[in-house]
Amino acid sequence: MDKEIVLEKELEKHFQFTSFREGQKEIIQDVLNGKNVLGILPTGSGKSICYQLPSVLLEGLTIVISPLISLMIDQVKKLKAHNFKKVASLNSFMNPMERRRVINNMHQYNLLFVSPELLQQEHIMKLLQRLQISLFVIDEAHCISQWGHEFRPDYLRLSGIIEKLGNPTILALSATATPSVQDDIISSLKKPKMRKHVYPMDKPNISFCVDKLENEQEKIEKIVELLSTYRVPTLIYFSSRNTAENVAKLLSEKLKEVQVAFYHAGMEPSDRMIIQQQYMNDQLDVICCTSAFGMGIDKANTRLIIHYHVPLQLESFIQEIGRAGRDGKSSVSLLLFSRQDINMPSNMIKNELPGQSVLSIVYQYLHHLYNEGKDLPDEEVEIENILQINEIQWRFLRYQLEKHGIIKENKIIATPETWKDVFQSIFHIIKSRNKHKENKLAEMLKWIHDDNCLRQSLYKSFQPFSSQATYQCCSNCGFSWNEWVPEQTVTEVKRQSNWQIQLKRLLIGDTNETK
Amino acid sequence: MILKWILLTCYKHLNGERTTSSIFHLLKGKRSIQTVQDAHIYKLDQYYGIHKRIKKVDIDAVTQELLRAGYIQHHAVNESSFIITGPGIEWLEKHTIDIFFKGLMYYEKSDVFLDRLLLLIQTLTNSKENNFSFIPIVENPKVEFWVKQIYRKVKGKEASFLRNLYNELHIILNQFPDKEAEIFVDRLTAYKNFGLSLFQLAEKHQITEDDAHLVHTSSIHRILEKVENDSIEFPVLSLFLKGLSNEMMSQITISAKETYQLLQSGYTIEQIAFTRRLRENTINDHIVEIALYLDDFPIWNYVKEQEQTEILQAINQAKSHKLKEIKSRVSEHINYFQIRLVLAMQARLQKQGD
Repeated sequence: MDKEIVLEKELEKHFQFTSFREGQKEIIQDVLNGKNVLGILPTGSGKSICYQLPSVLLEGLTIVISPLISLMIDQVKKLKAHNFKKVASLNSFMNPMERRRVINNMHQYNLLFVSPELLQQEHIMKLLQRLQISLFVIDEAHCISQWGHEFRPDYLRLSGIIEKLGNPTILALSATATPSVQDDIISSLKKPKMRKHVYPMDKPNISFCVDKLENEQEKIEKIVELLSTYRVPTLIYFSSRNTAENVAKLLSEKLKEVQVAFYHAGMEPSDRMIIQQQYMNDQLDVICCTSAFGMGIDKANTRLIIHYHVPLQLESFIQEIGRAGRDGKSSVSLLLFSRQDINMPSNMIKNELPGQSVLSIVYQYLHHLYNEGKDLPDEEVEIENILQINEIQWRFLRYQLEKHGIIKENKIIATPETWKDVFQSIFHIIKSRNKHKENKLAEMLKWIHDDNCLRQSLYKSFQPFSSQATYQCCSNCGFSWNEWVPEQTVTEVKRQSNWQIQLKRLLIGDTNETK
Repeated sequence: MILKWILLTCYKHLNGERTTSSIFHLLKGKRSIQTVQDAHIYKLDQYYGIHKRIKKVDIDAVTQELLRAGYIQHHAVNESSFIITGPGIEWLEKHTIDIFFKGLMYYEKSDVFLDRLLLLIQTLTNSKENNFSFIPIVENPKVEFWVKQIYRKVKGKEASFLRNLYNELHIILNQFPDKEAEIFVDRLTAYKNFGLSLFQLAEKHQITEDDAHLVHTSSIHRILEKVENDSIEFPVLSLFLKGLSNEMMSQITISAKETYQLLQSGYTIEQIAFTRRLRENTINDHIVEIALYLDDFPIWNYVKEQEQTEILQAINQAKSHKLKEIKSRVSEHINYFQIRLVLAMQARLQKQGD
């Protein structure tokens, strides 16, 4: 039988899709033939099918390395909801008992999500070495590159890990990687013969608008004006959790009939899930969110994406606007810019990596431990609390301290005489990383102030050419709101104040509803 | 408003003898003898564990508000505790709130009951529509297991099960204040319709998140009370309580159960020993056994507050649970039975805290 037909049958059998989207089949075929693959597929194109289907078809375990624990948990939950049961995750948020349960049942899984830092633990590696690993997937592979927009030091160690696991087939996936980042991924993985499958990331159905305004007040007015005209599923992206919350409250007050909510990583997981699901089920019109929202959300009819703050780089901007119009219908990206915005992103960049004062606290802390003859605490969270730094900052520092031979796992192995130089060089690395990010920000700002076609200039560093706009192009090519007439989606007021009717609706259903 | 009312009531009952932290522990349902004992002594047991996610800062903020309004004042000697003022008492009398708690009774049961109810409603309304891929609203392996079992029995008869559930809920909710019924229904998740988050509830009803949580807890306690009092009229809702109330009693021996029933009918230890023709020491053993499992065991009937405190101190000092070691550190009049009761209480609370 023709192999292509078989693949499509398997796709339908396991995932209820009748056909592949662009790129999926080519990648899957290569992977099944044991070829190492670098796949660059735009956001929303169904990257995860590229490893989910092979995980079912291949004998042995498929391991997926994923940088964000929350994303990992979401994916496992979603797969389970879709009756894909042989899946689990291992991450440092799980308590020892949960972890043990997964480890004891390892042979039952097809697909295992692992956070990169767990692969540093010897007992996990020993366990994995005993299993047959058929496919090793690196999700968000741009994290491997110093020049990618979300560099994760743990990713640099992956090539060693792959070797230890007996060189399984590799699939590296990313939605946003410039050609130089692509090269970086391939060379970091030490697989020069990797096959590249690069698909265009531009979205011909999205129109791009940049609106330069005077201040916050004007931004709010603009949003209120748009949302009173357009009742369409809308995401508004913010750089700050507080502003997201405040604007959500403000919009709820001003736009009584529009259902608005906020979403950010500081909320309880159960509340985050509720908001996501309400948006998916058309119970909400507008979500004021941080970049935490959107990954793994496959809502087809998001029509409008507003950026209230300037994103730190083009890559995240492209990723976020990629959530609009997955159904191919006309959708709009609007970036609101005011002069006052410029300070905020540079401050954010400064705070992402530890600064000089944090470094000296770490130095003192290690000194203290060394003098007392103690090791670092086992729990990463405990260290983060003592040092008052976040997960990403500590992971960065841990990697640097290990690389420079000051610590090994939880033991301090070097004498303090050597530390001064090391801290000096870590500080240099931080400075150059910050410089790099400043440059990325400058690129973003340059795009905002570009007088040429916004669509062309947005994609030019990622792909040689971009396709023609299906609908209106951009605000520099004469975009007019008057001509944008999307289909209005009316979110039914599903939560009305009469509880009797509501209870009946929920439990029994609408009796007068036509089927 | 509700949190304010409850805090002021707590301050009134505590009368400056305990700090704000003890109210925090009470509402959170801290599993320590001290907290449970305080709940009984100050007649605040209904508020025990009614808001497990409350934050200390929220309590402090409302306390400051009460202080500014002149409803409480600092205790003359102990600066960190408060006493209610004349205007405070007046305010409490003027504002009655229609809310119902049985905290010490239901603090554990109500969570499981609610989780089962939410997940089963979500499961059945989805399976009725042939939708088997939905994100579960509750993540708790024990509850998932329970729902799976029920689902197997109800499969194919979802509509009639839901109709019966609807009828029972309708009868009960009809007796509630409208707002409370509404908040309870707003939290439910069904097919393609997710319930409101606490924040959304608070916004919709123009109350604080804490108050929304408290009203919701009150609705669950009311339902539990109705269903427990009349399990015949509410067979479907009783299902959700299965294995919950009896879980601890099933661990008690039959003989101890008999003793327990007599105790509840008001018999004294001597009378029970006499009627059952057993030695008093055996009855004491039964009571210790009951104390090990019964959530609302009335320890203060046997050990006075002061004695409890003394025994607890002795346990800490002795760093041992050996009766002899403890006995040597307490006053002459405290007996082994009393020490065993305190140890049993502590063991039970620690077990639940795991």
